[in-house]
Amino acid sequence: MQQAIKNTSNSQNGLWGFIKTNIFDIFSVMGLVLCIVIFTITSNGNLWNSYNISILIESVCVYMILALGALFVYSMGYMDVSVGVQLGVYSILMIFILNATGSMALAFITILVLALLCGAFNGAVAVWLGLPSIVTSLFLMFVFGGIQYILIEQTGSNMISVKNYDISKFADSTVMIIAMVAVGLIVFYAFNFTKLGKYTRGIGSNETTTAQCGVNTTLWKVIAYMMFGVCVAIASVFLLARTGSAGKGTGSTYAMDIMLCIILGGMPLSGGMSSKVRSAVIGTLTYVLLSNGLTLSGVDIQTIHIIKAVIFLAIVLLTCRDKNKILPR
Amino acid sequence: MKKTFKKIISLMLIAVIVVSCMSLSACNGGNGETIKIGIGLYQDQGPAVTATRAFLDGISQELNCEFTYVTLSQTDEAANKTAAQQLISSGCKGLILTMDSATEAILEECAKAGIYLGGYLSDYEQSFDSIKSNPNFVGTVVDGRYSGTAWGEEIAERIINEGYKNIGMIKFPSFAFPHQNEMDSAFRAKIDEYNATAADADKITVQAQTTELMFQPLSADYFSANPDIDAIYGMCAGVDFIYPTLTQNNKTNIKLYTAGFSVDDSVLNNFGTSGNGCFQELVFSNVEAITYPLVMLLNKIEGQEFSDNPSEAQRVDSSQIRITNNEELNTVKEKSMYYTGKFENSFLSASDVSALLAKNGGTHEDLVKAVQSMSTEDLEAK
Repeated sequence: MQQAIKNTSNSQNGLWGFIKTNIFDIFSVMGLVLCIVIFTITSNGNLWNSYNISILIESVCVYMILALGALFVYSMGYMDVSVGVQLGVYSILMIFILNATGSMALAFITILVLALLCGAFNGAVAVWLGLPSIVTSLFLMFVFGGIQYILIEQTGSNMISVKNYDISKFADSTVMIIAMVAVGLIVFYAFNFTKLGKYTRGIGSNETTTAQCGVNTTLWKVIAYMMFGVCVAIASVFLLARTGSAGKGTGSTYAMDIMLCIILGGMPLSGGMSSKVRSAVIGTLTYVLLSNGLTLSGVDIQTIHIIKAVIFLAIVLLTCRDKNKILPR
Repeated sequence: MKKTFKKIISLMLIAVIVVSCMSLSACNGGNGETIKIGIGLYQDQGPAVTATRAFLDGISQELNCEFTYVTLSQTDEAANKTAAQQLISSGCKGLILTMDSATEAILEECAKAGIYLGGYLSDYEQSFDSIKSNPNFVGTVVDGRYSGTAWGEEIAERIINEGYKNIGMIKFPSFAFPHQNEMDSAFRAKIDEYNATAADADKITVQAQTTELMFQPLSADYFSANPDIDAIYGMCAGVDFIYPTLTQNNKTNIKLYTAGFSVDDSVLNNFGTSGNGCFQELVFSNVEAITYPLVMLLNKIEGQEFSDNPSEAQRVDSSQIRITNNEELNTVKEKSMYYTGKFENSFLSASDVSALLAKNGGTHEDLVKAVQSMSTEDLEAK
């Protein structure tokens, strides 16, 4: 019904109506295209050499899987700042298990269970205690940060490496592409054709109304966070595969980077019905291209920070609609 | 109206970036013949960064090189690998990195791209044994001496001569700086040796358990636990991690012998007999030590080899500037490139560095000698 009204409205207003309805998508696609065009020119063609394409795939993989999972949380207008330290702890735990047993299955199942528990904690405790979900994720961030520190301290070094297992097979470009496509398809289906996607977007639009429609919002919040947890566990494998080692700071920047990816993809941080899977895809590609392209173009490191900040500001200015709903709950 | 204004502003911001990137690209054109070297430092600003860049800028034309910089993470291996990959993608033929982080993974990338890696002011403690035979690794120049024993003994001798009786001991954690344990042990051994023959009234008491700073400033509780100390041997970077706590707690009467340096007047004006006289010793490594990995890289890139080329990559000590009195501090202010940030104050001119290349008749012995001839005495003799 809603779609029908939208289509009728679009056809009545023609091109202008289409642009008005899809303005955020258009800006995000334009941003990606702009990055590709500019960096193709400024990098003197280095952007498209085979080596750079392989490192782009390697860089995109972890961000993409995380951003796709984060979509369920951000579409509710929530966020999870513990994802970075979770990645770090899962990487370290996998190394411990791989070095002790050589079993990737055991290592992955262990971190998957932990990630699901953290997801359930984030979703459920916030509701039960009536706290904003960012508070529970902050709690998890501090707990996991401490665990990461202690685990590494115990090794007597500032990093540990995988010894008894060839983790590098997960760093192969083909494996990474297959993983991204598989996760992308599952997320696309779950987000667009199941109750999970419909209800998370509903919660983002208006939680009270969604609850009054008979939806158990607590349950769907927990499921959404657990879905993100699954993606965090998968992303941990690919993050570890990149270097075969982990330390105190592994994963530390990912929480904010994922938020940036989603914003760059044109998705409002307040979530809602305008949340789309393509926001995660386009945003991730734009973010990775931005970092890669600026370095390839010889931009000074201090200038890179400034450029990223300016772009972030510009995107927020473009996408924020309601002064009360700029930031997640 | 407000919405339109926001959109105009944001589009203008993006436009400014686009134009800047385009112009930058235009400026970067025409350097196809130069050898591009990627430099990864663990800071993106500060006097060490300024001096390193000034030195490399000063020698770039003579060596036909250009340098691209990235900042490395002290704790995130994946971020460092990405930084190295981006340098390789941008056309760098060699990398010089200050962090031993994801080194084996980075060397795999270097092998794929057919380029080389060297270390700068890092002993590559964790990976050196496994990478020293790697053909893509050219070796590293250490931040001072690989063994910490000598400095520990030297500080102990100063403490004995200057008559301090209660000594505080502070260092960074062993997992990050294992050689600070050697400094600690050497210092204690020297003091024990002195105490064995000293009269009871002259004996020196050393803090029983060395305090480890987890890269956080010293806690004020330290003075409650160690109320009688009159001097501190700070094996860690005491300028940033110990001195601020001393000033905040009015404890600048405690003398500080520490690693590190600052160009800040709040530090230098309190050195030796000046100001509160808290600082009694400061130590730093010279940025010109980057000559070692740079020359080794350029030899490899140009297919040249020293007549006395080592069979595997070396971990080479570099000389440090030890400032122990006001005269030495004045010399540093006047003549050290680290302080002035000016290439004209460098220990090595562009032609000196060029002469060290294998193609110009340089030898490995000459190169090592060059990075080990940058002490306080060498600075005074300039």
